[in-house]
Amino acid sequence: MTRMNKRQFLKYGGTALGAGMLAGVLGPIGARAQGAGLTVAWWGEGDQNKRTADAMQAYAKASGITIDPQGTNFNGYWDRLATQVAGGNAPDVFQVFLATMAEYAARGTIEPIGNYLGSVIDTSDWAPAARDSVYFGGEQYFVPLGLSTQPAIIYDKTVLEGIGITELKPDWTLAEFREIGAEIAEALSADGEQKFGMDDMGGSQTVLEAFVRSKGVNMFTDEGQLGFSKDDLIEWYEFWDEARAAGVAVAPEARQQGGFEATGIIRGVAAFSTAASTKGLQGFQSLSQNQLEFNPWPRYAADSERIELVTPVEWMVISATSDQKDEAAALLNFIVNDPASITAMGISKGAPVGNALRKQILESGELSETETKIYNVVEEALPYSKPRVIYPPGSGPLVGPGTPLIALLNDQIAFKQIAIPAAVDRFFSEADRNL
Amino acid sequence: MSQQASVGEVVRVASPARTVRQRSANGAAYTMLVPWLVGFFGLTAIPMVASLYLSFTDYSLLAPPEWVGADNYAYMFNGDYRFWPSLTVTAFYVFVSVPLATVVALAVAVGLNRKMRGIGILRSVYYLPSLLGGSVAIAIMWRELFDKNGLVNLVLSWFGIDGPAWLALPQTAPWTLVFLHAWQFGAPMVIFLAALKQIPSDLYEAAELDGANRVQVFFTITLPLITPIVFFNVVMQMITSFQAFTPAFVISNGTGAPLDSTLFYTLYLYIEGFGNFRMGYAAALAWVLLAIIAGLTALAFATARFWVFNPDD
Amino acid sequence: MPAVLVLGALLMVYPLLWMFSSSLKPEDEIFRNLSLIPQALTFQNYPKGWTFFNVPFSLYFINSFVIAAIAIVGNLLSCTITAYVFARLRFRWRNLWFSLMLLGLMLPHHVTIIPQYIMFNNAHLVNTILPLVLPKFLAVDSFFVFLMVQFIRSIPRELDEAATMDGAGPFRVFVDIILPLCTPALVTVSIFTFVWTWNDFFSQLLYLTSGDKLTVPLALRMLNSSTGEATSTWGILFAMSCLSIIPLLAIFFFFQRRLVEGIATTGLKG
Repeated sequence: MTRMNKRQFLKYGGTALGAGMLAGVLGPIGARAQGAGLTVAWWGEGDQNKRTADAMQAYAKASGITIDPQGTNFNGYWDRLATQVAGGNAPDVFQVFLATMAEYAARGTIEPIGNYLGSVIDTSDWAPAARDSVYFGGEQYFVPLGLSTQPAIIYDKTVLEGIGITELKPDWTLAEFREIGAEIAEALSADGEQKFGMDDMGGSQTVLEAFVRSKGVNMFTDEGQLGFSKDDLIEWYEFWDEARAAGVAVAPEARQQGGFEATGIIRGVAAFSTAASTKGLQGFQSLSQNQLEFNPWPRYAADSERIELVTPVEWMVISATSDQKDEAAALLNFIVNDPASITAMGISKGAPVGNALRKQILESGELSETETKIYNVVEEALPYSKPRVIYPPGSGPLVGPGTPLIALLNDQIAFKQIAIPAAVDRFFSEADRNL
Repeated sequence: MSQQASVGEVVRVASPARTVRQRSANGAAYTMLVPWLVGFFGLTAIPMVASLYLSFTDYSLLAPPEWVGADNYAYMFNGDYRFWPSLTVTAFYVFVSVPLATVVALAVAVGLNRKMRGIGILRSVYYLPSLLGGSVAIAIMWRELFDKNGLVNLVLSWFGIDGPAWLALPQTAPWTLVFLHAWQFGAPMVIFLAALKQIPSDLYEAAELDGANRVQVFFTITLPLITPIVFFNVVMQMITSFQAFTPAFVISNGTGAPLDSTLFYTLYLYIEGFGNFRMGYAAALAWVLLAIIAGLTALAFATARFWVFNPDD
Repeated sequence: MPAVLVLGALLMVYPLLWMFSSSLKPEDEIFRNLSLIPQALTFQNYPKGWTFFNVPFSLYFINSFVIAAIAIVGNLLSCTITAYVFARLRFRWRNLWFSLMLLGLMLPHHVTIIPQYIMFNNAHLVNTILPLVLPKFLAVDSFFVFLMVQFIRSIPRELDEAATMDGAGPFRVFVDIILPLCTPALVTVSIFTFVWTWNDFFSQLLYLTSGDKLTVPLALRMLNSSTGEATSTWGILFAMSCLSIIPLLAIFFFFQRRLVEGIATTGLKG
């Protein structure tokens, strides 16, 4: 018996040993692959990934520094970044956006860059809208990658002209917006199939932000609390509830799930849609044969001033745990300020933040028609732009990506599952808990 | 050769030898189990225990976890307005789509279990929807199929039914997920096919000699013999369907819309953990789900003795 | 019966036709014209997609293929032997281990992936394929272990008892008796491992970061346009998705033969 056991042991032990050796042999190969220069992470779609990688490559070539570029899609990017940070393996440089930048900054994962801004990173020619956007809690953290305006109100010019609306005034009012929407809805539904004037934007946080700013307050205060009142939110939900009831805004039963490809303009059921930023015109236009244009979010009332928001959509930051912070800062200066980088990036991060650069590119004649529109809307809006307050930590469930509470409540109101005052109470009590 | 004899003998002799035999069987079993044991402890058990610990913490992923006791569990049952809807829609999905997909998979497998020209192509075609999995193409196509003017409503209109925009309404949207599951039956189908091949053909020959028709053969020979695989498919599909993530993510773009009617439990957990930086809470959600699945699985195993064929009996 | 099967097959093949037809449409037609017949035919999406990134798409195919192939070997080796032990050998705490194994299947991987990532990161294995393939050699895919257990249990016990009488040890019984008898199950494991590894997105996303290490699903996600913040690439996405299906179909078609030709009668070796 003992002899058999021994032999068996050797036999089966051999298998196990083999598995162990496999791990031992392969292990060092794995270890070697680590530590390849400066790691830079970002998200992108369309040609954004390639263009950003090209800019990195241009820098690597010019500086002799090795760069490990890590581009991926939007959702995957955030899952991976959070995992990397949790594992103590954050990229040296990574990209952030409005809904998450404060989360990362507040927890000390981002290096303050006050000593780099103005020295290694040249800010002298930046538009004020870019310079205003680097702060969180009084500290400088974020390097803006480009400028767009938010939100983007996109309309189908071909459809509007078809029913005799030839021009939209940039300083129109909310009442006029609704009126034009009603006119479109009526004209388009004339052939029997019900169509609408505009998408239901009641759940869009960027449009809500434009609305409350048109009333003179920001979405959030400097202290990280809600900047608007319950009355503001009631008014907002009532506007959309009435618009849906009147057939002006797309009814909940007529919606489609999805991204921008499911909007009213692309599906041909409405003439006004919204995108997170004016960069979004590119996606819309690539799917439509009609002529698509911007108009600003309307003024609140006839005697209100026009308030715009010119802002970066993406920023890059230096990881607090990076051991190559100086190199990282030098890279960021190149990315934002160097014409070579701007040429590689194109419009993928918006119009350049440097005034001279923006002018240079616009006059180069290399921009497509759509890109020119995106540049122009930034120039046009700059004089009216007022800075926003960065969304504070904990704001994600309220107004972040996915289905934030603001959108869920709008849907519940649309399906008559909750009364507007109760919805607003719910929003404010959740805000109390989160902020 | 002496071992041969000894093994043969000990099978029949009494207790002292039996303990020796048992010990040697233990040794053989555990040596062959070494890879699994290493993997289980190293890659499964440690992360599981870690996540159990995290479920009692406030963990943003970006900063170290902080102990909060049972707060996460308390909030789940008292205050979280998305917990119950997500659990409800998930349970609906499991209890409707798992039986449906199992029946479809078995029916198709029986149909495809024949010798016929082009059967390989036909099998591949039936497996096709599952190959596409959670791809974006499926997402777009599914949304278009169930749109107001989509193909599904077109077919319904032939029968005088005016179908809705399925994905816009909270009442109908979960059904599109069920249909998606029932349509992607490839995995259980392949398993059934393999199981059908495992049935000794002499049994069929005997039945044919007895003059049994095909339906009788199916219910008296085929079905009883593959009950272990039916059991496997039902249990595994239940376990994975409770954790279904991709279909909902794909159909609603990860939002769970409309009105959280496609907010699968795991999608919600993912949104909380990665989207809202509450991985501690996500871990608590995960462990509650584990308790639910484990309970139901234990129930399934308890009933197995009444209907699952066991050659050892 | 065959007529019904062929009719059903149309229902099954529709998505592929739809995807293929979309890959032949210009970008601004894809969402406007939902029919299967393109109004303006274009083949541009294929060459454009193949060279869309800084490395050719073929590299992603190779990367995916390597991972899937190693994963199959790993699962075939480790899951079968583990399943055999659970199905046939009597040993102490067997039921406890088996329950624990099933329990491991019941926890959503979103919460265990962080601790796993930290472990692999500490072992300096991130940005290599090892975190993706090494676990396969350690039988962590409990689905397959359980599947094989069910198959092995349905093999009549007299066969291995006879072999045991003849003096074969448990390992010999496994190799000589059990393995040949569960060819269909092994084929199933191979197919599923290939398909699931080929389509796996999340763990490849976390562990493979550098541009030249990316796999097909990672590249496809980068072609997905969800925000519209750039000129969309749906046509390219559909084109590359069609190509990515080919290896899956080929593998399935190749392996499913073995399902047909599987052992038709038991008792060959008894």
